[in-house]
Amino acid sequence: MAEYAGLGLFLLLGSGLVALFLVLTSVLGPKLRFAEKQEPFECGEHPIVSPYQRFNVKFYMVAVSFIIFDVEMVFLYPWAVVFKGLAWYGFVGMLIFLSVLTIGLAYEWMKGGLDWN
Amino acid sequence: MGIWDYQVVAAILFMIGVLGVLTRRNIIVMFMCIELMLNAANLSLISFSRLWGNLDGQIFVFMVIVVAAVEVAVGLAIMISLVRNRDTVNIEDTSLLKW
Amino acid sequence: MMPNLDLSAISPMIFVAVGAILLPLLEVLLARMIERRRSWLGRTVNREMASTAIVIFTVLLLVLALLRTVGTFDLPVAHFNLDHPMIAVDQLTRFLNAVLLISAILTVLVSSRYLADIGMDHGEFYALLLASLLGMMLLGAATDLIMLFLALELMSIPIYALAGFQRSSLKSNESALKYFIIGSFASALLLYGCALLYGATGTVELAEIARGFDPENPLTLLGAALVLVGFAFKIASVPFHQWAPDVYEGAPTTVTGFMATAVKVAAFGALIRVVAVGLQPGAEIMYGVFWWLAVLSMTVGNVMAIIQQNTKRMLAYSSVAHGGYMLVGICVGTQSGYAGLLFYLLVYTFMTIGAFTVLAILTRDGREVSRIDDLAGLHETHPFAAIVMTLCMFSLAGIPPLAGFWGKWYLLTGAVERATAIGDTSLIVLAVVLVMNSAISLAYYLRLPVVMYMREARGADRPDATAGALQTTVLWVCALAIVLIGVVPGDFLILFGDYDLIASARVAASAVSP
Repeated sequence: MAEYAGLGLFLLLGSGLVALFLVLTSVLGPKLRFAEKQEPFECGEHPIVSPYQRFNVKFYMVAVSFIIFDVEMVFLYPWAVVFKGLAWYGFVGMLIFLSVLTIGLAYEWMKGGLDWN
Repeated sequence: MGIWDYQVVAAILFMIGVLGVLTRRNIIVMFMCIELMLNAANLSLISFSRLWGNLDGQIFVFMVIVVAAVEVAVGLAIMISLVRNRDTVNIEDTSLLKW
Repeated sequence: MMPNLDLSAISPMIFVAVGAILLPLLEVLLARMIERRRSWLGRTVNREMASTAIVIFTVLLLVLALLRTVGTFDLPVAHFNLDHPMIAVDQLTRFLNAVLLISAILTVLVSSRYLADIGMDHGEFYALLLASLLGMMLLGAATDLIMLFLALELMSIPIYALAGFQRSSLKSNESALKYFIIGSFASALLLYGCALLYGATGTVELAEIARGFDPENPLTLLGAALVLVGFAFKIASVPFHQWAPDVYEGAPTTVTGFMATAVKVAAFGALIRVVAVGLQPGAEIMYGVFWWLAVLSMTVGNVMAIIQQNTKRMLAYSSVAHGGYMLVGICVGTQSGYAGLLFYLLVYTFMTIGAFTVLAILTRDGREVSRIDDLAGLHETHPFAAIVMTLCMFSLAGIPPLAGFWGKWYLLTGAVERATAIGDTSLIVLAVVLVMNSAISLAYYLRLPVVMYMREARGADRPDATAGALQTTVLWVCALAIVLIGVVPGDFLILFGDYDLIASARVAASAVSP
């Protein structure tokens, strides 16, 4: 059980700190209540229309770039686990892999895929 | 739960995917069904990897995850170019090419 | 832990990979330079020069890869990584790579002018083409289910994008979409098949799968069946062919030529390896499946081709039928069967690329020749294109002494040899079906020469197009190849006739297995 003591302490400290902040803000913070504040908040926009509407197609480029570069990172995890055993071979191999990804990113950047307008 | 329970789940998911592709007419739904098929195969690979005690299946799954992401990117690009030219995601509306 | 890597074994693939990675960067850098006009280079270079530079770079890489492939043809089996032999470079791989590279070079040469004609002159085309080519080359070399699946996807995904390359055209969009849905559906079936095979045998290596293959085990059988269905989709074999005409019609013409040839070459190469090595113990069960696939593909492909009015659709159904002819080689399953199949792939590549090149030449400002009747009087306006088209049609129909005849001849003799050796009449039936189908196919192959030579050009709805120098070169290459292979077929069969393909594939797959 002794080895879990640290974990228990961590949990205790973490939840205690959160509770402390919550209590402090509710006690110390200024309070102004009016109708608009009670409305659901969505990025500063008034939720006056149905949430089921079309997104701007510009989000598509962001989303797809995210998917590609995010999912490729899946290879980094097993690589990192056995990195010691692979040594230089693993390092150079991953460097090649990442440079291919970087070329892809550079292409997208220069092509204007990252520009919002 | 044993290995074969996972296999049954994978097979059911795979069949749902196959039926979805064959019966649904919304391209995005068809596409999600294909992803479901890929993930059913992933589940199957993972549990077989456990059964045989080697890592081949898990390595396979890593590759499949990445391939699926790439497919998403290209597939959505194709759909967007279709939507730009013709405002639809219904496969029945794409009927220029018929004999 | 330094693995045993042999980079020279895969050097052709490295050339192609480098091209696929660097080309988009090159294209965007050149475009920027021209746009900004800051440096001396940016002021002197214009759009045409930039796209010419990209084409030259691409062709240079492909020719280097081809020379390297042909130069290493006689070497023994090589592996990229001896500890994990996922890629085996044996005679089968080298021959497939050579055919694939030829197909890609011809496609690039035709495309530079064609892309300008349809207003889509972007360097990304060549990058996608090379990426797909890399997948095809790896597909023929894969001795491992993981590599097989990865290569298959690397081949297919850029092709989806290429099919939709003409972004403003609805037909191209539709073609890409249909190919994408069907293609990824087929990939998913194949993947689940791979998973079941792995579950039944506990390994992903083809040679090991053959060792653990148990024809009594339903898991193995279902896995093998799903893998074969995946392949049947890729080679557009009946009853998994419905996508082919739609996709072939809508895609840009040069892409269609590349799809019809290179995808088939790579898929058949991988199919040979899977059938001859991995699923070998199930050969008897698979024979029946392939027999029916072959008969159906030949018959349905040819009959449907007769009633087509659109040239590209007709060629699509013809390609389905030719897939059926090639499946005869898989059915035979002997050295001569596979050699005949590979020879057919080489011949088929030249015939089909030639035919699609003629169609690509007749494109101007995005307008294409779609109906067969629009080719009327082609011998007046484009005499050389008409000659090459006629040669291609005669060769596709298998009229001696052109190359296509010998392709069918070797498949037939392989089937008859095997049939007499084991006393099996079903192979004779298959051979008879092949001959009968060749006769049926005359009906639509001869229609094109008749329309081109015996009808007036006046009624034809055809844009006023001229051939570019590179396109004429491709026509020459295809015509010469068809005639030359037709005159001295033996010299080309010898390319792989001396090698025991099946044994080589088996050795390659099990090089380091204990």
